[in-house]
Parts: sequence; C-alpha cells; structure tokens
Amino acid sequence: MNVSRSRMFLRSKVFQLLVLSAIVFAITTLISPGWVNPHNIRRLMDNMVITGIFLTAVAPLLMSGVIDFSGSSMAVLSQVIFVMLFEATGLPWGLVALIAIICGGVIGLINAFFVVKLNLMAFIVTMAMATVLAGIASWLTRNVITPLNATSFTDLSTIWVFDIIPVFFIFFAILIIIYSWILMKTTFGRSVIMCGGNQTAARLAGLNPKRIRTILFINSGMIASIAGILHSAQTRSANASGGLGMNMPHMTAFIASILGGVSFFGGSGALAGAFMGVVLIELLAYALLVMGLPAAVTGLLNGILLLVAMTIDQVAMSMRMKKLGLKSHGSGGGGAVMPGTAKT
Amino acid sequence: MGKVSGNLTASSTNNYAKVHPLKRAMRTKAFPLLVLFALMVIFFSIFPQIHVGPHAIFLRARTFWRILEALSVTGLLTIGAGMLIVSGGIDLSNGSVGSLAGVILATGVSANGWPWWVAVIVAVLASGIVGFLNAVIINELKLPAFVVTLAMAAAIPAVSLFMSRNEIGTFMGQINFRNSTLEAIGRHRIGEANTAALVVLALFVIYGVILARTKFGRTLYLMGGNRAAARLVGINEKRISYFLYINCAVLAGLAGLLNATRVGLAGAQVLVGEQFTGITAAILGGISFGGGSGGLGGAFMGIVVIRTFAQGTAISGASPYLTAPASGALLLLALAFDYFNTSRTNKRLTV
Repeated sequence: MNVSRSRMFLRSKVFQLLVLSAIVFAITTLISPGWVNPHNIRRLMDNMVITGIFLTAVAPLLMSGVIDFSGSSMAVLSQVIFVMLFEATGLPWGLVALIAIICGGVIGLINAFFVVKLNLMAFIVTMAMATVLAGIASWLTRNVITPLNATSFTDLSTIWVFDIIPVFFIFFAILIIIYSWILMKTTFGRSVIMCGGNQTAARLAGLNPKRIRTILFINSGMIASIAGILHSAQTRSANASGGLGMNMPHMTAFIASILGGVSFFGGSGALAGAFMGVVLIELLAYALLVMGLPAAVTGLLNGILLLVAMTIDQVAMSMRMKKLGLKSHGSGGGGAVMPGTAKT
Repeated sequence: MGKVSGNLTASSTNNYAKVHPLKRAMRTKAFPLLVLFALMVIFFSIFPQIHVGPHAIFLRARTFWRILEALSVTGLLTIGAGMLIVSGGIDLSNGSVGSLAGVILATGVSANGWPWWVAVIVAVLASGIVGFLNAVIINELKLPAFVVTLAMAAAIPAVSLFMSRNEIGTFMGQINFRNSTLEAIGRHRIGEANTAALVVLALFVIYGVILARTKFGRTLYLMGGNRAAARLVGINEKRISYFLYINCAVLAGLAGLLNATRVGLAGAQVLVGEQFTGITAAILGGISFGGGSGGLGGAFMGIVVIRTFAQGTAISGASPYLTAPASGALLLLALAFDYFNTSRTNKRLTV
C-alpha cells in the first residue's frame, strides 16, 4: 500500500474541492467576465471570514462526535451584547469584546453541562439553547438595528493588506492554522479525533472524552462570539433579526466541514478540507450573486452539493472496499446515527 | 449495533407486570409532562389575575381550545417525526416541506387560478414526492438520514422561493392569497373548537393506537432498536422506511396547508424551524434517537406543555419577545427533569 504523496493529494478532499472551486470560478468568469475586481474579492473574503471562523468551532466538535446548533444564535447574541455594552459604557472595545467572548464561553459551558454531564442529546439541547439565545437577543434590541460607533474597531474591517486581503481574513487564516496544528500535532488534538472515533477505546486508553467535549463546547461558544463581534465590525451594527441570524453561518460551516471530509460520525477529518469547503460554498454564493440570482438559490446548491459529495464518498468507499476484498459496512440506510446522539 | 437497552426493557416489562396500573401510568414519560401541565394551569390561573387584572382569565374552555388550535400545525409535524424517530430514522426537512406545500397552494390558487382542491392535491403530492426522494436517497444510496434531510431542508426553501415570484419576476418570499372555501375549511369551528385541530387530535389518537397496539407499530420499535435484527426476522424494513418518510412528508404538507389556509399567507420560510419543535416534543415524550422507545401520547403532552406555556405567558401580559427564550428555557428544564427521572428509574431497575 505504498501510495506516493502526490497521489494521496490527488485523492484528497482538498484537491477535489480545489478543482470544483476552479470550475465555479471559470464558469462565473465566462458568464460575467468583469467580476474579478478588488471590490468583489474583498467582499468575497469578508464573507469567508464569518463562515470560516465557525469552522474552528464546528469541525472539532464534529470530530469528537457531538454537535452545537446554537452557534449562529450565540454569534447574534454576543454581537448584541458587544454593541450595546460598548454604546452604553464606552469602555475600550477590546475589553467589551472580551466580556462578550466570556459570555460565549459561559453559554458553551452550560451546553456542555446538559450534554456532557446530564448526557442529553447535543442536537436537542443546543437547538433549545439557540431559541433561548436568539430570543434574548431580540428581547434586548427589540429587533431594532443598533449602530456601532467604535470607529477604532470598525475601521479594522476597511484595512486591506496589499490593498486586497482584509485584516480579518488574516486573523481567520492564523486561527485556522493554529487549530489545524492543534488537531494534527498535539496530544489534545489527537485525543479529540480519537474520542470521536471510538468512545470506549478512547476511555480505555486513559482519555477523558467528557473533559475534551466540555472544552470543545466552551471553545464553540467563544468562537461563535468572536464571529459575531467581527460581523458587527463589518456591518457597523448589531442586528438581532436579520443578517447573521438568517444566514446561519454555523450551518454553512457544518456543511463545509462535511464536504471537506470531517466525518459526522466523528473520528476523522482535517481542517484543510473544511477550509476548502468554505471557499467553495462562499465562492458559489458570491458567483450566484454576481450572476444576478437570488441568494436563496445557494441553499439549493449547498443541499445538492452535500448530497452529491456524500454519494461520491459512499460509492468510492464501497469500490475501495471491494478492491480490498472487504464487505462494505452494511449499516443500512435510514439509521439515525448522527452527531449529538453519542453517549459518553 | 446491538443494544443493551433491549434487555433492559424486557426485564422492566416483567417488573411492570406486577405493579399497580396507576403506578405504571406514573412511570410513563407522559406523566411528568402531565404534572408540569397541571402546575402550569394552576400557576397561570392565579398569576395573571394578580399581575394583570381580573379580565385575564386563563382557566376557561376557550383557552384550551386555543391551545389545541395553536398546536395543531406543529402536532402534524410531531406525529410524522415521532413515527420516524421510533423506527430509527429522522427527518429534518419537514418544516421546509410544509412551507413548500403552503407556497404551492398559494401560487396555485392565486397566480395559476386552479380550483382549491386541485391546489391541495398538487401540494400534498409534491410533499409526498419529497418524502419519497428522502427515502430513496437514504435507503438506496445508504447515506445518513440526518445529513440527507438536512441537505433537503437547505434545498427546498430555494424551490419555494422560485415558485413565489410575482408578475415581474421578483422573489417575494411570501404570498398572500384569498380563497373563501379554504378559509372556511381552515377556520371552521364546531362550537368553540377548531375542526382542523380536532382532526389533528384524532390523528394523534389513530397513530398512537397504531404505534402502541398493532403489529405494524411493534415492528417500528423493533426496527428502531435493531435494524439488522428486524431484517433477519423477515420484516421488510426498507418498505416500512419508505412508508414512514413519505408519511412524514405528507403530514408536513398537510401542516403547511393548514397553516396557510388559516392565515391566508404562505412563505418559503414560514415553517422552517418548526421541525425542531416537533422533534423536541417527540423527545420530551420519551421517543429517543436511535429509536426503540417512547410513544405518541408523551409526544402530544410535549407540545401541549410547550403551547400552554406560550398561551399562559401571553395571557400574563409578558412581552412577546420574552416568550421565545422562556419556552426554550422551559425545554431545557424539561429535558433536565426528564434526565433525573430516567436516572431514578434506572437506579430502581438495577437494584
């Protein structure tokens, strides 16, 4: 089984998604040739930042076999907290952001209490939490858009490195690199993947899946807060009723993760593939916008993309299994095996 | 795949055989919800009187008919979801399917000028087709139901949006429509009770009896507990799975139609998110993911509790902004309560 490095790359998700992205890019350029300009590239990257940051929350949780559906609502709430607190107190924005991020961490801890300690289904708990958080956000703002006047912070979103790359994008890239490194190279990262793959084995190997998941839930809340705060800088406001909440960036990140090969049974995946997934989805969304199609079509394409990707995976898997003379795992369709049902 | 809980249930039924029927009823999942419901009724009978004034009366027949009416749309989603989850499946797309059915009805009646019954049939058929698609992808391509239906849930609103274009081709997202027959059906009342809500109640009873008392119902539990075993004892689990997905989608379609006829408004997103309420109600009623347990009685009590709370807070004059987070918190509370209840039961069984 000596497969050369280059062949492994050709087989990887990163490569497949890269090719798909290139195709989308080519088609868009064919249809509307003038779309490649600095303005569009900046906007596209801005969009990628918000969805992409969620990867560092969603993907590790998925790898460890659980899920957090409250991400987008958490982002909205922390955005509201950030903006309202800043406007009310006038404290330095860094400090206010820190408070909002800590709030996110606390919510993550509450999620973890229900899921890890009480052993309830992550799926249901975090959905309920999402209603609570979104509700609090609209109660605080009465669904009125609150402007943010922290120029020293919002101006960051208009600084571009080499006149093209937004500062936030660099922040996001660094975040992805750090998380990739943690997941691939550190003991903690390996144990995250391990406890998603085989619970019992992980526990017997002396790992503590409960502790790992608690940390990941807290991480998820904090990352969601960061995404919300960055979004408030991009839009210069906090909006509880539209934008961030409606677009459900954590859902997109979830789809991107699965596209990128993060198995939702836990236990496998890397951030590079998930990152390419975000690139593809956001590119597609922006391309549709450029071509004058409504944003909702993105949902249709994301859905189809997800189904096609999973089908290809399944077929490739069974072909490889046949080649190796193994019987493909006949778990049967329709099983509700899903993230958030794993028991610790 | 083998589940230890199968053994546990078997021994627990033996255990139950000796206990008093009343005690047995108390041990069902519906019981704590019934207690919660009773507590809520007591609280909301007293609190608004003090807090708002003597005109804020909760304890009267009209309130309960209102609650029944409010839960009927979600109730249809709950039945479909509950049956599916018992058998080990899941459908996250039924909120989107319901919205699609509503949009088809609205565009059919208003823009295309179909007779109302044609629009209804087309909408129900379309919902059934989506359910069939779900079933095909899940059963033939063997993809996980969770992801398949999530993808569907993302894709369908786009289709609905495409359909809800106005004359100049702008995507409306929402369509108003008027049809006196449909309105009459959706708002028809027998006495104080909304007829459609009574039909939903009847459906709950019918499906509940099928699930609890018939051979088919038993099959679903077996499938949910251990699908491979179900296949080995000669159950055509694939056919049942097809039936359940289509059933779930058609019920969702009916929910969408009911919702649309009541308010005279349909939109691509109106029921999106409601599927989670349906699933949560099912879970509260003891239907567990991974299948094999629970019943529709508990699921019904689940939505009754959710809607009673909403109605009660409204009568108490709470800000409508507070109702949503409060009912979310209530769900979390109910889940935690359920946890402690279950762990107590388990302790008793192991001793």
